[in-house]
Amino acid sequence: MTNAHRTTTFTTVDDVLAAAAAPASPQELGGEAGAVAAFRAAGPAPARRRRGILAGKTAVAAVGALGLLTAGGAAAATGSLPDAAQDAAHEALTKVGVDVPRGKGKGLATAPGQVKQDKGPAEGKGPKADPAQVAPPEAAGAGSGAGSGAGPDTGSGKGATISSIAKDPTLSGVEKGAAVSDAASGGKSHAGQNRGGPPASVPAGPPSSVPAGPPASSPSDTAPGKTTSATAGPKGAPAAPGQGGRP
Amino acid sequence: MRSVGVDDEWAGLLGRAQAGDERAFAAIWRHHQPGLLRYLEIVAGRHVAEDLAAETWVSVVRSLPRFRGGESGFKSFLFTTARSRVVDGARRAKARPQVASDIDTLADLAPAAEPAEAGAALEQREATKAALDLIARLPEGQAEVVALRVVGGLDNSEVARITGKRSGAVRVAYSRGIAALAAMVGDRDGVTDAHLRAFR
Repeated sequence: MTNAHRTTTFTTVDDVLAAAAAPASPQELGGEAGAVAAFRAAGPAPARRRRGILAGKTAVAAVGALGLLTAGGAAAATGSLPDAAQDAAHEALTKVGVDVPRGKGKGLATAPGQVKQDKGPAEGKGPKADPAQVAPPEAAGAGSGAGSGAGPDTGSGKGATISSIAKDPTLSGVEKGAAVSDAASGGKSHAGQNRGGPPASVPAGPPSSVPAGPPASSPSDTAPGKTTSATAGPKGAPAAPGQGGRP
Repeated sequence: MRSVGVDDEWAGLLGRAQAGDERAFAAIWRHHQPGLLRYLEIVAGRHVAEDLAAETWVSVVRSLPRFRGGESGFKSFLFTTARSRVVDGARRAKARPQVASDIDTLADLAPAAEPAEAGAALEQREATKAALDLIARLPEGQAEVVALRVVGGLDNSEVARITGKRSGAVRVAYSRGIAALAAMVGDRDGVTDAHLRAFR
């Protein structure tokens, strides 16, 4: 479009202003579909955005739970868990077709909850004592043996003492675990003396209990208010005078 | 262009749009998009007007649920948002090589994009383009004031608020802009008092 064309189109300033404010052409309204699509994508914002946050946090929780299960599962597969946990993992994972070894202790084919109450022949070790970590392998079974005392032995002498405790037939279950722990720590540990302690950690726990869920009242509706336009937007501007509307 | 109408009708449209009614939003968009686009053509150039208009609507949509006010308030909100987009665009352009004049030339040389448009509609569209081009040739301050008042349909106080100028300065800029347009088209009568009063 040339300047010559522009100047020959209009003869008065009124013509210029009338043409500038003329009704919309179809081209000017051609972007309606895109604008509505943007509107659809953006609003109504609060509910949709809150769902997104929940979905994101759920995904994070799921990933976290998956990681914990994977770590526990790896420990179970190598048989490196405490016996009670190892047996529980064995029971749980065998049901889904995963073969992991049992714990080294005897008769722990029970659920973890039963381990906590065990005081008898099940021979479950005290949950806090975990003597398998300090006792030699034969002591980890805690099934037989004799011995007593928990003297402050050091070096190989302590190992022999612990071994004798583990083989002590007069001790069983938590009592044996406490004795082993006491001997291994030189009398510092009181593990196994509190029989109401928490159960051993079980890697096959339900994933829903692992991550803390997000609060339902997530303040997501503050997000869109941070735009520049929002702060510039007038609130209740005065009504326009008579010529406010476009012609 | 049909006005959305009385405040009750506007309130209904706004309320439905705020609740997510696409048809209500489309009605608002159809009513205000042409003026917005023309304002942006004048102050920023035809080659960026559509992009800036789209950015403006995105910002408006985000803030729409919290908007309170009548239709004139919405227009002020819309053009204030658009103006901030123009300012942001100008800042970005300063960081880039200056090629705007070349783009303008290429845009003028581009073939018409509406081959099916004919007759009176085409003539009117060309007249509108010519008018916008004339207004765009005014000094920057005058062009924006004339655009906001004539194309945006805003009154003097609203233009003053949007542009950050005093009301008297807006009135002077508008009068000078109209006089300059009259001179461009050879209007010997120039700007009459009646004409200026029509836009007070």
